[in-house]
Amino acid sequence: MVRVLLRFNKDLVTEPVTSQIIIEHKTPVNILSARITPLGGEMLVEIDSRTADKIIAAFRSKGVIVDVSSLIEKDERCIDCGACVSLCPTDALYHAPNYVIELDPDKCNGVTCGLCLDACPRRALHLIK
Amino acid sequence: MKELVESNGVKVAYDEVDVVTTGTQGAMCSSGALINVGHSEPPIKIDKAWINDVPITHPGAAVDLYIGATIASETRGFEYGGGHVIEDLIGDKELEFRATAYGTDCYPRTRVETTITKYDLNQFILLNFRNGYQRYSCATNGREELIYTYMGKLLPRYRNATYSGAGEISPLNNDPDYETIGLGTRIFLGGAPGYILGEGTQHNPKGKLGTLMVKGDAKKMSPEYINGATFTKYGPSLYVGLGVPIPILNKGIVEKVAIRDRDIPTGIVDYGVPSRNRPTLRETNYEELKSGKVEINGRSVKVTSLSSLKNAHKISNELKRWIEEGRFTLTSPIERLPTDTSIKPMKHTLEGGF
Repeated sequence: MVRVLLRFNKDLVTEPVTSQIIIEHKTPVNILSARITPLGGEMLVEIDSRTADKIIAAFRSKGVIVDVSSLIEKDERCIDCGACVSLCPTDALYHAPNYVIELDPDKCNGVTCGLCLDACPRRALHLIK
Repeated sequence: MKELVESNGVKVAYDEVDVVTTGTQGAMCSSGALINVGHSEPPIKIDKAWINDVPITHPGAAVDLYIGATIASETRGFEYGGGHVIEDLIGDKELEFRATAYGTDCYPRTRVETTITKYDLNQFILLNFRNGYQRYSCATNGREELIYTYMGKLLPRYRNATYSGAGEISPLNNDPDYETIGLGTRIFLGGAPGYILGEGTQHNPKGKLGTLMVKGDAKKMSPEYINGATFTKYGPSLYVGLGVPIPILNKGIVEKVAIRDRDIPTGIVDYGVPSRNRPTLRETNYEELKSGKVEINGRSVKVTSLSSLKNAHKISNELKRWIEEGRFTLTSPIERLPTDTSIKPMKHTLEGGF
């Protein structure tokens, strides 16, 4: 499965874009998390890797911005406390056995979640724009 | 040492081990640094002072100042505070310094603006009046809304929990009767040798909640162990790395340093109740807290440390290395920490006040 972040502008949020693509391409799109407002929004989805290129192209053709990069990064200011860990709903942030804080980008919900960002006392966590 | 006592008993451990080192690195708000910035020409008796727009306290003579860790910047708010100033000075950064004064016959100058580094300062002494809490409450939140506290961000309806302190490797838990700890005990403070000055504020040995007042030469410290921090909607603070060596003077101390996380109880407290008598939901211990999951109201909830357990272990190993290499010698305290005191709450003369 491929995880991608879909960004919808304010014109697109009123259209059933995702449903149309699922029907047109007869493919499942697994919605992991979403944050949609009348001004636009983001949706984190999983797509089958065999059809990923085609589906990403389909979203782009409808005007959706598709991001495939990682969603949150942790910089060298991190001192390995755990202020972020208990907040992370997907266990993307976790304490490794040597007490180092690790970030698993494949589990992170990024901008659709963001619970950890303002909890970091060292401001070491950043959303990748 | 703890494993050695468990597997081979107190006698073997007593014969084999001379010193046990401990460590902790957590947010310790009652911290700060005393600085002397040197005299300007003409001289100034400082009234108000700022470093990188963070107000600096002027409690004494002309150019003696105290950088309080929790004071927020006047331009950047909570995002930069006294704790960050201290870290930046330790980390060799050049900071903006300004001061104003009313002017006197002996100190006529009324204004000064310059830059400072730690090398410009005559003294730069970390002087913390409450550090190294023996143990601390585990925090959770029973409100219907998210809250931001000095114990971090707490989700509504008990959906997460946080704790502080390093448990079995934390200094005061390994000498709970303060047999070896007191005024004059040489310690690891921020990456350099420092000293215990005595009990810290709110020292409460009867409640097994001892605290330490400490000092050390900040010019020799490392930004690895002294970190400015911001707790959102609470304010700035300072993470302080602290380690205390416990000399194994008798078999009684062997039994005490054998303490395990499961032997250190603490309460899970509802920080959603804005009272000094916050309700304790249940008792837990540091073993359960370090497991990452704790049960609250029949549900398993994620719990994590706000202290850096990685650095706590690193400090205790670093202090061990200093002692083995002969770079650090132990001292015996001139006066031990009190063991029979407790703390009292504030007296009110007027009710209410939100």
